[in-house]
Amino acid sequence: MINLLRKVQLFNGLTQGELELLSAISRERSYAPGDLVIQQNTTGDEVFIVAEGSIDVFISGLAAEQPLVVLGIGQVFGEMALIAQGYRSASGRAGNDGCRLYVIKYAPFNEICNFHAHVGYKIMRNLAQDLAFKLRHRNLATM
Amino acid sequence: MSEAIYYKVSYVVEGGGHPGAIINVDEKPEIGQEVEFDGRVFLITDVTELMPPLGDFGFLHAACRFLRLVEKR
Repeated sequence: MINLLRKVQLFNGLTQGELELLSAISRERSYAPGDLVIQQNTTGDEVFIVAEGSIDVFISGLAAEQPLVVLGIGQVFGEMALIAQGYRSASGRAGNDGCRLYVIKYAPFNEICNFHAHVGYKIMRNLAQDLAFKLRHRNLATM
Repeated sequence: MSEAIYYKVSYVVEGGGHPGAIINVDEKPEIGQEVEFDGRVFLITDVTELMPPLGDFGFLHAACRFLRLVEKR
């Protein structure tokens, strides 16, 4: 698991020891093609990392629930749960080949960030960068 | 562009018929290569830097064109 976490931009800059802390609180989960992983407008306390396959992100109400983006290996989704534990802003379902995900719950993640503030800083910096990247992707995709 | 170890790539499909994808890859994508996502094969037509690199990561935008569906194995 450490090898994949190293390739996840959310954890960019973390040391081997810090990645091991995150690996210890990550759980693996697999989904068949089309399975709903998170549902828009529900609450959630988990963030997901794509280890294999892909996730289709979509918003209810858009034409035929067409995906807004396909998130492949190394991508994070449900990350709003790490910032504000409000309602999910979008839904995510397993892509054409299904997916294998790593799941991190908010409470143990928050504990690591509180105890190791520099880890929390790096992850929050990376999270802001990830959101900026997704926004730029969306802007380009809708031009 | 400095040397990154991993690349986070925003694949945007020309014509808007597909929402595109965001995928991490180990090697920088190149124009003329084929890339596969969402059960489809696309041809990469342009690659530019989307954001400056940071740490081990480069941030790229790759424009691509739909070629064909992936054959079921």
